Amino acid sequence: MGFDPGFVFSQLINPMTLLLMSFGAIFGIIMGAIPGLTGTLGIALLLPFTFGLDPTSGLLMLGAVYCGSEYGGSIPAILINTPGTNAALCTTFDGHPMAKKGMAQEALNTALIVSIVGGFFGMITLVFLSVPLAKISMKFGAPEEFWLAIFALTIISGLSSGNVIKGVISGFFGLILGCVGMDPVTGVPRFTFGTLQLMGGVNIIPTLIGLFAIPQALILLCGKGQSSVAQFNPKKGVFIGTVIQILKRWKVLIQSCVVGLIVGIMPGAGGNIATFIAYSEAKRFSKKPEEYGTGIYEGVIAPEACNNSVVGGSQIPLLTLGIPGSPPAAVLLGALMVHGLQPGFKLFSQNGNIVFTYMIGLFVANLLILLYGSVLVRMFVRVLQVPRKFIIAAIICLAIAGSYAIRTAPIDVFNMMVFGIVGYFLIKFGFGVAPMALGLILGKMTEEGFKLSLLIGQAKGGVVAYFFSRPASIVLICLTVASLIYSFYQEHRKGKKTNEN
Amino acid sequence: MKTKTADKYLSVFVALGCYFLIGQLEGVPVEGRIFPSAVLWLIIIACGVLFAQSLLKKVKKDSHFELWENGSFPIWLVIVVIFVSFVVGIFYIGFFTCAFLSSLLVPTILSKKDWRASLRINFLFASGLVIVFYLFFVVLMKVRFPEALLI
Repeated sequence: MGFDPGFVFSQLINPMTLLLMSFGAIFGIIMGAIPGLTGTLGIALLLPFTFGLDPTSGLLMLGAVYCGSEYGGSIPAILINTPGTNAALCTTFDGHPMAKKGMAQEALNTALIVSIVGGFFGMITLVFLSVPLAKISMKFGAPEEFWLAIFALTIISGLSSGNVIKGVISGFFGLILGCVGMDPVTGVPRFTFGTLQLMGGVNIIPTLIGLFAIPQALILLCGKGQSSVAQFNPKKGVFIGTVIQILKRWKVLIQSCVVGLIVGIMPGAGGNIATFIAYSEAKRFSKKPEEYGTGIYEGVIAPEACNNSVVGGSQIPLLTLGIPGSPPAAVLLGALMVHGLQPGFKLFSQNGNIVFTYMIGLFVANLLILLYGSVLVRMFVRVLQVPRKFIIAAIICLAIAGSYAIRTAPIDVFNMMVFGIVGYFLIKFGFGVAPMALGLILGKMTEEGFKLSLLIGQAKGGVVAYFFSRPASIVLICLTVASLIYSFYQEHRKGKKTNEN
Repeated sequence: MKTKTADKYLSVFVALGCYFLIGQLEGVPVEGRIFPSAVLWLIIIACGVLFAQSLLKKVKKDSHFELWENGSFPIWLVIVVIFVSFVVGIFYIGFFTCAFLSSLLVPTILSKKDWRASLRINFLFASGLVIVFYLFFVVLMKVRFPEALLI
């Protein structure tokens, strides 16, 4: 469970690692800043390029994309009243009114500073909570691994698509995709339709690129045109003034960080829900709640500190149990797996250096975001004005080049193409692509857990008892049922609200 | 098409697809068959629930599923055709030729104003993109893209 501080330090001061993290941070901010593009897409597009890198640098680059995109979402939220990411929706409530008052720079600085504070808060907790949680995962056997995968699937299915049943169908199809190829036990091909290229199974990375990049590019076609950007003329001395204003509101900052952290740790909840809770709690505790929505600092501090705190929180179940709480975390799970890193106790015991470098490196990534966010802010504002037609063309080229660059195999490009088109229809019909991606990532682990449990259960003389009666299994089954019931309840409430409106 | 109607058709289509896939598992020993067939049966059950849900759903305002946006020519389909041609084309006319053509075509087609007016800027964009890709992938990452068979 240990790590070598010398290794971690040497990795973090390595110029190449810093360069990759810088690239990841800038790329992430741009991805977050362009409405319609997401951190998930950013991570999926950069995933193939981590193949040629050592796992630590590759993961740090992807982590920087994730952190950067969370901050980037606030830029269009403040300047054009359009959230760059879903989690930045609450930032529009006060961020844009601030910009309209001529305080765009103050709002952007606030978003940047509190994002970093929120990021630090999440990372500190990640470092301290992950080891004890990973120790719990050590007690997991085959049935627990199976139920854990099912739990992760039900969470993502429930929250990432509008309809729980459709999400479940999408997730189960992902599991079937994980079965394609030669069965490891019997050596018999399954669902290959006689194609030799499918014998090795469906390659995860081109599939992720296809599922996340191409549908996003096609959906951008239906988006609105360019919005007008609020007046933004940076002045000197505003940064210090903003820091003082934030320090005066330290209670809101701490409260929002805690909310983000707690919601982030709960698998599946994610930044979208967390920011709404943080904003409403800040408003509830305020002495002047009527001022919210008029353009006040608190209205930017609450959602922005919260959504960056979620990043650290959401990686706790990801690294310790292998449960991704959000679509970006699901893609990060894929990245861990393609680098041969299995989340859980083994990750901390066998690859302690890598995982601790990753966790501590995220602090550096946040510092880089602070640096680039303040220095390159003019460039990020300009990015908002790039026409969508160019973004769409660039995404298509990058998706094709990236999927081919993995191992220069034509099948990967065709794989990406097929899942790109399938992904578009999945989104159009309300199935969501994240459950399918997660199903594919967890497919092998789920099948192995299922088969092993069956075999051990048969040997012990009671398959059902072995599957359902172990304490950890019972907890996971209860969580799975609870998450499904919660998702159905949410769906029912949403449907009721829509009808009422 | 209403979402309810689309759900009905989809549930039947997906269930039939799963039934077909279960048939594909014939001849696979039970150890290799049990998990995928269990999952496929679960999908069929979920499709049954989706079908029932779409029958029983009482919504005052059902959203409409539109593939043809506003009844106009489906622009997404044009982009998909360019995308598929790009993927197939890289093995015949080379990656960079395809990248140039597609990154010129996509912005030109999506230009809201007169396409001739935007051709110059689109040409500059396509050339720039190809140069950046060449420097990044070929020079820096040493990726060998498929060579043009026809050129």
